[in-house]
Amino acid sequence: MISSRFEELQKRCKKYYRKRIIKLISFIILFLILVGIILYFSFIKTDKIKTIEKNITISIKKTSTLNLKPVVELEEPSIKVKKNDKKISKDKIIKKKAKPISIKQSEIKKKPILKLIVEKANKETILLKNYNINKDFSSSIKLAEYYLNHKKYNKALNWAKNANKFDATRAESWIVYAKAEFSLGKKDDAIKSLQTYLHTFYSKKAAMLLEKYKTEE
Amino acid sequence: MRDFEGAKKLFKDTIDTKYYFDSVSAEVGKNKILEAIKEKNAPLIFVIADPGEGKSYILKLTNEQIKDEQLTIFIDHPFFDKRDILKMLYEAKGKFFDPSVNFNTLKEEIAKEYKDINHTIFLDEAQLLNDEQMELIRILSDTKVFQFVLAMHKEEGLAILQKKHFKSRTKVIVYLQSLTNDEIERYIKDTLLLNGYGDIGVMFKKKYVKIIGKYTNGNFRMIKKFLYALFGLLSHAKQTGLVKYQKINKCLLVMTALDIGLIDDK
Repeated sequence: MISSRFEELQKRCKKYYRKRIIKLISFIILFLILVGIILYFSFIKTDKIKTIEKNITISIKKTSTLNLKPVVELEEPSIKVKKNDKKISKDKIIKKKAKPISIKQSEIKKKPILKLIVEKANKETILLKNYNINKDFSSSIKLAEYYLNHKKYNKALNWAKNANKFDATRAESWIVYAKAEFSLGKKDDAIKSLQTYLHTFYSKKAAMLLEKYKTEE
Repeated sequence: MRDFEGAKKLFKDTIDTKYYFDSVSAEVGKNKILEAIKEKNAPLIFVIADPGEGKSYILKLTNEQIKDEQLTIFIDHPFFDKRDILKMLYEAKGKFFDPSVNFNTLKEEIAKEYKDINHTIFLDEAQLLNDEQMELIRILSDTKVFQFVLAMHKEEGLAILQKKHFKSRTKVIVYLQSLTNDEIERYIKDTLLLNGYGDIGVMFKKKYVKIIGKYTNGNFRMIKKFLYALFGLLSHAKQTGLVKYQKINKCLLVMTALDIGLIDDK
């Protein structure tokens, strides 16, 4: 064998190994890039899942807040409810269910407001629940007074009328009715209703209120 | 002192039937051919393998083993005319071949001559025969007088077997396989040991044999070629005092593969 041939083979061998090493390194780099890409995307996926989970938690929180604050309206203030007839279906009474109200995250974080809303919603719900269970003058007039205090005068009127159906002899429903009418600017109607009551029955509170409205004339 | 030059000569690409390497494939193939010849159950025996996997070797070995018991004709080159084969058959029998005589008459005459004689015709590189020559072999084999052993390359051979000449004929097909790594190791070590080069034989560790097997794909001819080139490099390293290349290592094996063109580094 000629020496030059041997030397050439040596060089080719070295070159061949160099190529193989480059190939191997390229392969490792590609592999690492691929692994990196896979990990990156899997991380994003996990992150997305976490965000979705977080959103679900927030939405659950929101829903629970909203559930505590249903907007309830009576279908007709003049529902004929007899004392003994307690079989009034829930559907008839509740006209509208709570609509989802968008509450911003920042709003949720304001704890005092939230607390207030929750408390408010809680009281109203309790009163409504109470009415649904008892369906009597007491539960009805409490709702009327509640709405009057919260300046929801129309609702107060409706619930006062409803209470009156249970017991028209009691002054409370007449007083709430008169106050609501007065607040709505219907002063004459307020005086008229109080006079109607006092014409048949007597109540110190009703009389004083009538005097008050009359003097304001 | 290791004589690499002497070891190199052992792997020259020649067929020496005196030294038979009994690989599983070769052993099974040889026995199958001998059995078919002995029982005369098939007038056509096909030996199919890739180039360099020992077809010619098996044919020559079988011919060597039976030529004392019966008349054998070994044709190691393809013939150009269909009359050539008849001529060879006439000459093997010591008869005068007259080319002016009609082909059919020649065929009938030679069939009569061979009818009562136990004989086998070995035909190497049979994939080179054209359709006319193939048809002649088919006609002669149909006389039930002549028995042929045809060695063919795998790719072409399988296509020929699908041709109408042979598809419906009774035949024995022998497939030869490449050597496994264990067989390569045994072949190298046995060959070196039997020829007094045991000290060189121990240089072939399993990991190096595995590399040789990978480069040569277990092809018998290629293994011989590889070893021939490898011993050439070892011999040169010894002569020039290159200590690093006086023993087998991965780099030397790569150099050998590059030398005989088994690695394309372009």
